[in-house]
Amino acid sequence: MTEAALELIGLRKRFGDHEALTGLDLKVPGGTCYALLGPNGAGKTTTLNILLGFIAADAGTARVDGVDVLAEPARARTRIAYIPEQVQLYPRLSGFENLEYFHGLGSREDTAARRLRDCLRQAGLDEAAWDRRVAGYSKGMRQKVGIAIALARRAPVMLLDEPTSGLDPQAAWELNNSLRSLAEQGVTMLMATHDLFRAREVASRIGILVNGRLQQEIDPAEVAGPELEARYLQEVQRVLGVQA
Amino acid sequence: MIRRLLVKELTELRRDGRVLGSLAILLLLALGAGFSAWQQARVQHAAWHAASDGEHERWLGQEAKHPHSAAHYGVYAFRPPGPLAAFDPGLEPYLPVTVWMEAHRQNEALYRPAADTGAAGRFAALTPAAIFGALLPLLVLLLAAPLISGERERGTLRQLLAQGVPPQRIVVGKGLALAVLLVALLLPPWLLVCAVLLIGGADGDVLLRWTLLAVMGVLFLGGVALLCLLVSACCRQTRTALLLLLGIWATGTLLAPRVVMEWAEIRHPTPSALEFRQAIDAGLADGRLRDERIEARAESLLRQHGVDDLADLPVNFDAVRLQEGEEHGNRVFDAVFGRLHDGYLAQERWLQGAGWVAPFLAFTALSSGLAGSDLLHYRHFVDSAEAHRRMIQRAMNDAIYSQPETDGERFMAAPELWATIPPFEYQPLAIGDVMRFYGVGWAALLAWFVIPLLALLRVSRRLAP
Repeated sequence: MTEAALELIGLRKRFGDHEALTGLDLKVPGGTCYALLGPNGAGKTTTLNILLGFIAADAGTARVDGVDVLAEPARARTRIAYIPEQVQLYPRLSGFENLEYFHGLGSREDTAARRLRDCLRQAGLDEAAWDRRVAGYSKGMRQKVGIAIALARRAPVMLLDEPTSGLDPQAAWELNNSLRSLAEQGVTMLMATHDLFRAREVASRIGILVNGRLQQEIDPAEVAGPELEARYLQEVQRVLGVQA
Repeated sequence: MIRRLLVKELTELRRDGRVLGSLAILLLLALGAGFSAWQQARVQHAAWHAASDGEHERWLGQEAKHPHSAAHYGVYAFRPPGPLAAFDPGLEPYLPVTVWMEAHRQNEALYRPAADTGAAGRFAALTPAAIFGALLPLLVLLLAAPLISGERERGTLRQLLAQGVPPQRIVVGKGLALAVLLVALLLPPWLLVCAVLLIGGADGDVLLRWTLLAVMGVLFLGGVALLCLLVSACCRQTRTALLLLLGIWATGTLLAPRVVMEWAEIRHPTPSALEFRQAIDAGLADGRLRDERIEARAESLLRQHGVDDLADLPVNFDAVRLQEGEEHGNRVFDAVFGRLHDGYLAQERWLQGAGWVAPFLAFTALSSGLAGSDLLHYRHFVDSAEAHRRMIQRAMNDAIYSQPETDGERFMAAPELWATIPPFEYQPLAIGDVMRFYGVGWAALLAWFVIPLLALLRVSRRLAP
């Protein structure tokens, strides 16, 4: 196994009376995709927010590609590409203009338009849509532009927050293909999701996060879909003491 | 990076029909107001020229008469419109335009242009200054409110920050886009007015005033834009930012001026017309000092010329009586008019001081001050006219003084005497005096620019998605 590109040790975060993370330990080896499963409020988005430097952890360590997120959040961000649950774009700009803008702001060098178009192609966005205003795009098309933005960034680590939420099966399948391809290219991915089926298809490791702590790690190659679901529900029920 | 932010913002603004529509409406309003203001200024200038020239001709056309009769014949002084009153008429319509300058009395100025306003008077005047000071901030508010809060609400701010874009640059980019838009909107009309002024032969003072108006406009509108961006940066939702900013705008632009001026009148009351006239009449009635001075002058002249009777003096003692009467009146007028005008100026100072609370008030004060349509310029006109009146009285009395009455025959001055009196040519207040008077207003506007700027820089460092 390669060295961890993403490493969280004893991460804690409290919001008032609620402890969102209660000592999260997690390692994602380079060039792999890790799916973080968990019910609402488990701490998935908090974890991503800490990695993105949007909020500071109360305790613990978070490293992205060897960079301490808590000490150098701006530097850590340069190592990250991020795909949110709902990719938000500027409706009056075309898909290509959005990509050019987001990438241009996040990158120090000028990237050739040809490479950006390659990213759109790789993300699976229909070529006819590239120069159309995003206002007329479906959610799947927006998600693909988001993937193209992430691809263009050529970051070693990619964070995905519910990337298949709201996508139709075809779009979700295409997204999975893109993610697999990225993993093959050596990109490390941490994907927060509720979608057990997609997680099993894409991830090389699945973690079940409940109450701000990693409860169990599963190798998806070793479990069938129904078994994964059963183990997930069992774990949630065990920790929360309710029918999940 | 900033250039990219700028281009994107401008592209979005350009593609937003609502923005283009708002700009078109504002441009239409500005064109209408500009044309109307230019037309009014032209008519006012023509009327002022005709009246002033005719008045001096009337003075010169007097037949031979006793100089004191000429002093009573009098002349009118006409107040020219402020140098840039076309931009901001300020109090111009409500301030009298002419003063009757005659012997013995400093008359109150007369004829307010507003009195001639017809049915249109019921509508608020749409002036370039009103558009700039009240409507343009509304447009800035509508444009700026969603600039950051909208990004946050949409989720694009989160994505931008995740891309590693420094938050300060996002804010700077937004601010620059707004600035470029405003400059593109305002620079052409400003240059156009410059050209019109130059072609029209405007002097350096007017051009300097126009330049200072531009500087003041940049401070004011820049402050408004920075405040809008600050509120936008602090609000999670555009709706909240808009409501907050609309509240600030309505309070500062619609409510504050009324409250502040009511308060100014309470704090710095000016006498009613009746009280004012009573004060003058009371002052004039108390002529003890005048009588003492006349008596002293009589004794001095009798002694000097070695005669016992005023009728034997080689000079006309009536002139001494007349001039002492003038001096007595002048002391009264200086005190009573001075109190009245000091009250007006205290109200002007109060208005610009209130600019610390609402920048629109500082803008209003400075704008009319630089346009020459405020109470400071009005007082200067009244003082100039009074100085001219006193000069005429002295000249007429000096002419009488050198002509003692002989055999009961009254001295009749030739028309050449009238020609020694120059026409009344009002020189507007020096710009240095205007700047000194409005120092507080400038400081308030500067503070409204600098404080939101510093606050915005601070907030932008911690801009949260």
